[in-house]
Amino acid sequence: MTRIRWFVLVIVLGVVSVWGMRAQAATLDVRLTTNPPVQAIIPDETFTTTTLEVRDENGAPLNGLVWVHLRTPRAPRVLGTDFPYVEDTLLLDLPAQARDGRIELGLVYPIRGTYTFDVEAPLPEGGVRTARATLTIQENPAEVRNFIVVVAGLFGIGLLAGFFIASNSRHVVLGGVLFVLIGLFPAPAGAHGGTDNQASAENVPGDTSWVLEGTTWRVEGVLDAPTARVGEPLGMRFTATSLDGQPLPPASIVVEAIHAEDEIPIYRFTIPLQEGDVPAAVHFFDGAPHDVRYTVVVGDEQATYTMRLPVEGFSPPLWTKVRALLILLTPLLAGMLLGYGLVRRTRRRLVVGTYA
Amino acid sequence: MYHHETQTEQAHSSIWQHAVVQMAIVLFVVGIVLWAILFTNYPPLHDPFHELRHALYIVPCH
Repeated sequence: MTRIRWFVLVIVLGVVSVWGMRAQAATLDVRLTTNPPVQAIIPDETFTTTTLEVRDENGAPLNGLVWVHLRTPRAPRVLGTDFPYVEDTLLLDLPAQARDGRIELGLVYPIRGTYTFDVEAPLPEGGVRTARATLTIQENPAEVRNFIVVVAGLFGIGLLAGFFIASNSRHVVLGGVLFVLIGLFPAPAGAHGGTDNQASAENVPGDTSWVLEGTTWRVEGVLDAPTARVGEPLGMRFTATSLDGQPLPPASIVVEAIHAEDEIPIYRFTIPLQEGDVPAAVHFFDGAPHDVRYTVVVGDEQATYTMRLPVEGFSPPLWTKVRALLILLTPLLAGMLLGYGLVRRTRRRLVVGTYA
Repeated sequence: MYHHETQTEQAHSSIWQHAVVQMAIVLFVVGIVLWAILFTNYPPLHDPFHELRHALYIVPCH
């Protein structure tokens, strides 16, 4: 009987603590606004300023240090994205200073889908309050349009091939196949990592640390690796030290990442600095070099360091590529079967008409 | 009569088999071309078609 009482007590305590944690977790409220509006955001293209408005349980704007964890959308079931390795990963993991409840993050959202912002605010007495907000980005309309055109084109090619196959015009089919093969050679020039850009944007290992100093302060930045890798966030750590023994004045570091080949900004955010280590993690989703600019602001002083960060990209998983290829070949096959079927049916009708 | 029908059936069967082979060839060749343009890692083919890959909705890049 005593065992049963203990068992019931443990269960009740467990339920109460879980309920308490849930109640505590629900005390923050986060709202997202974007500039440009969310409808105008194009994945892998639009640099977007996202503002998080964080309010406490009383509806008052939150002030102070918070942690922001930004997670990318889950992998779509059928139609993949441009960056399969980026799906369902951590994009940003960093501390931020909420001022009047507002936190601003500037970034290019890499893929379509629903992004999850988890915000954690430490409580004075220990523990954290958490809140979650989501942001759904639609696919680039131009990409959808192009895809429809390609599918229609493949269907048309299939239809023609079906006609010729049914007409038993072997030489025409053979000619078409050769034409398609010859079409491989005049490839358009200049693109990602092309020869034009090699000199200005080489993907060679970069520095892993830097130091900036002012009259009374010193800030050191250390990266976890000399090269970032698509698919995993790159950890970084900033260590601020006071050189005169006095407490460090209000300090922050502005981190800006610029795609070196296209010279377009990818990230821009501010991390509050305090004496000691401040960790952060950033996911570079495009496998090309980035220029990362760190601007340390301490009181009235500021100093900047820019480094070239190579980013290693990987070929998508084989299954993802095979799946996309099968999707593209489906309209071709459908067109061929339809073209072949139409010719065969017309012939059969003509034959029946002749003997009727 | 029986001989004629058998020959006709064989001819139909042969044409159908031939059509299937032709369709398979078309699928194979177009598949090879699409793979070369959109999915290969070979830099001389991968790099020039980078923008095209990013413009096609379902085609992964890296």
